Amino acid sequence: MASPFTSVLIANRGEIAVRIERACLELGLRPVLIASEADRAGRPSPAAGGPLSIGPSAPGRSYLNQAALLLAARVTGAEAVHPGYGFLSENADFAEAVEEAGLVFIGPPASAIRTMGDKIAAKRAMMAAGVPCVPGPGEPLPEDAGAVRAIAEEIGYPVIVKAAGGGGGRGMRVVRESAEVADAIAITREEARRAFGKPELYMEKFLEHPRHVEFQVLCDNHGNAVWVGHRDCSVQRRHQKVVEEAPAPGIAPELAERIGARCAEACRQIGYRGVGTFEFLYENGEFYFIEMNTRLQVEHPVTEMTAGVDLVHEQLRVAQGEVLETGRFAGTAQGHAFECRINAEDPATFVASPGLITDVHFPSGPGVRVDSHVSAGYRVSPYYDSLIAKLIVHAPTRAEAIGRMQVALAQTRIEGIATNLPLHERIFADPDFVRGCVDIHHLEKRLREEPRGEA
Amino acid sequence: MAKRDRATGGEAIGDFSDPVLISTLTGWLEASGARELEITTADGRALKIVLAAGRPVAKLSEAAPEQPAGGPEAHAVKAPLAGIFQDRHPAAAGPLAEEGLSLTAGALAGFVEVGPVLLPVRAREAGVVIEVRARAGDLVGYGDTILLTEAAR
Repeated sequence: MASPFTSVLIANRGEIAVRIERACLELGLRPVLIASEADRAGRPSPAAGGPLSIGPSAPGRSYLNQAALLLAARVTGAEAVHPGYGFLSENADFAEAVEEAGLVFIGPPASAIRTMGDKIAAKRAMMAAGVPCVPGPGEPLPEDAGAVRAIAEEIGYPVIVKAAGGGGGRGMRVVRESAEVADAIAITREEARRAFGKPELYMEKFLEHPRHVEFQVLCDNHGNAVWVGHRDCSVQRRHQKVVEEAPAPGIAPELAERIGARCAEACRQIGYRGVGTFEFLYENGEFYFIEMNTRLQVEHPVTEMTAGVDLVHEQLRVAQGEVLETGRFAGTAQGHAFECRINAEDPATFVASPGLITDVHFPSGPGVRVDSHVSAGYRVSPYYDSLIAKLIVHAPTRAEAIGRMQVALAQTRIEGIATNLPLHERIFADPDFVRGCVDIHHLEKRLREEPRGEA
Repeated sequence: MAKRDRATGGEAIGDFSDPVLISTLTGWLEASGARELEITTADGRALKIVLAAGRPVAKLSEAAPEQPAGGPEAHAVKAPLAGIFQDRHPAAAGPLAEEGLSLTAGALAGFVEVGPVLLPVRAREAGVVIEVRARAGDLVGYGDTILLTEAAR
């Protein structure tokens, strides 16, 4: 459902809650903030603009507690719910529960979330819309190891076995020869059953040195869908994105236009609404769909900077039932943008470093944006994700954007806890990264080469 | 892509790569003043956390929760859920708790109203009400202090 509303409950925390609150205020909507007991500590009361505490610190009893969120919407009179990213943002049951409670869910219909949450169903939907997929059948693997081996032979080794309910790098295993097939299937199936509650697996060609390139889409409730640029998120560690940029360098505009148009078509076919991201692997000039994220992404600011669009405003507008002016989104990216995810973690060991931030200085100036919820005196909680800030820069060219980020990083000070700032400085001094187009294994390879703590 | 070998055991500490588990343990370690922590399970998996030398160790005083103004003997009676505080039952004439009033352990001190439901707010321990913080009609959150009591001397 899409209908006008005047207040939005923000079912999230951290920088994204601040980001969404700002967008609500800019559009004249009343933001309703909620928090766990840990996050509420030291903040003003709801009457003074602070968050309403909805449960204990453990996410399962607060940010993941659907009943508590719906009750909070009821007592605060919120008419819509924005799930942000993570937590309940890709939970079809929650989207349904919100709408059943007579509220607007700021995101796609539950049916679209469900289709994309099942990786086999998603792949089938993409094949039907003509979106290029990784070679391999869009069907669950049979039980019989011999039959699975035959599928693997047909695709050609190496192949990757994935859980239909997985995603984000979880529940997958690479198989390089037929002798490994039986074990890989058995282990991954057991993992899938335990972690995702459904044992279905599927198989695809394993690409050795791909880049991660993704397409941003935006859809309204009236059948309009557009793509709003692409991003490169190849700088990863353990499937966690560390640095993102827009546009993805070295992608031929005609190819991007063709892929982007297929993504928009897929959205129309599945009845999508709101913002979404099609993730692809990109190797040897070809795109291969891997999954769709049916929500706002952490890295959405790099697209905002280069497409001149406020994606959260657009999300809120289409949820209000407004018609998308598709003409506004045509055209090439303006300049180049990077985002560094600043995490409260040791830059060498990656162990989380919760604690008290004693002092903070963020950079400023033209083309510099900081999305953050922290300030001096803020206590980083051990209960949640370690992301404390996103440092975003925008400049006319990629080279200028790199220079701008180098300066911005050097000017950033966060005292009292360990952060991954030194890692970002290393990345922006890495000649291969500066040249561009590194693959998804590049950062881990670099980290193995350089002794720990050398930064 | 990823080799991700999930534990097959059913012990309490399921996944040692779980960042929440690691950071929680690190938080405890910091607060304890110790520098190292090592856990080994029966199936041979192990987790070791060593705090970097010179890292400021969190002071216990910083971690103290908001201290009720009534002094160390004061007990806070807290809201069990987010909702609208009501100081009396709709059918009752007067408030359930007022300054100076004695409450027995388990006594009703008010309600949190969520839609049609009234959730009781109870004093966990016997005491005299020294301060009422929430007013009828206030929006209160989970764990917010409704009132403070002090053990009768």
